[in-house]
Amino acid sequence: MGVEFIHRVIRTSLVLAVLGFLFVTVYYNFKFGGGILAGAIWGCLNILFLTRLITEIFSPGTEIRKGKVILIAVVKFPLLYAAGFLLLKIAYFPPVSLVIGFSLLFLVMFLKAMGRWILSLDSKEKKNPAPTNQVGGHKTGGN
Amino acid sequence: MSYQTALAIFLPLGLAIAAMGSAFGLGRAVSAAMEAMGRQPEAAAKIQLGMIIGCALIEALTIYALVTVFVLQGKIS
Repeated sequence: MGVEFIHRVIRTSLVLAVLGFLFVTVYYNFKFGGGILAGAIWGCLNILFLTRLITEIFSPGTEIRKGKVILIAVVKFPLLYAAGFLLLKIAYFPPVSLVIGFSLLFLVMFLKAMGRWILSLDSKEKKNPAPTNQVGGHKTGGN
Repeated sequence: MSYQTALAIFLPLGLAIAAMGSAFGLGRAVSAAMEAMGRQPEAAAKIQLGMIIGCALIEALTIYALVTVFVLQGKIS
C-alpha cells in the first residue's frame, strides 16, 4: 500500500460527493448539496497537491524538480487556500455543508482503512509482496 | 464581559492556538518521517503514505477551527 491508496480515496470521495450532491439537491436544497460537492472537491484538490508536494520533495534517491515543486506550492498554498477562503467569505454555500463535503474524504479514508484491517489485506501483502520499487509508490516492475 | 466581547477576544486567540498547534504537529510529523526515511529508504512509500495522511488530518483540524471562527464571527456584531 503506497500513495495509490490516496488516489483511490480521492476517486471514491468524488463519486460519493457527486451522489451526495444529487441526493441532497433532490431531497433538501441545491445550496446545501452544492456546498457538499464544493467542499469535497476542495478537500480532494488539497490532498492531491499535498501528495504531489510530498512525493516530489521527500522521495529518496530522486532529483527534486524545483520548477514543479514551486508550481505545486504556488497552486496549493495561495490559490487553493484563497479559493477556500472565498468560498467561506462569499457564504453562498452554508459553511456546514462545506465542512461535511471536506470531511467526506476522511470518512472514506477511515472506512477504506477499516476495510483493509477487517479483511487483513496488509498481512496478506506482507506474505506475498508485490514486485514494486518502493520509492514514491510507483510500480516499475511486474504487471 | 459581554458575550460579543468574549467572542471577539477568544476567536482570534483560539485560531492562533490552533494554527500554532498544527504547525508544531506538522513539524514533528515531517521531521520524524524524514528520520525514518533516512534510516529505511526502502520503506519510503509506506512512510510517505503515513506522512501524507497525518499532514492532511493535522491540516483538517486547523481548517475546522477556521470554519468555526467564520461561523461564530457572524455573532460578534
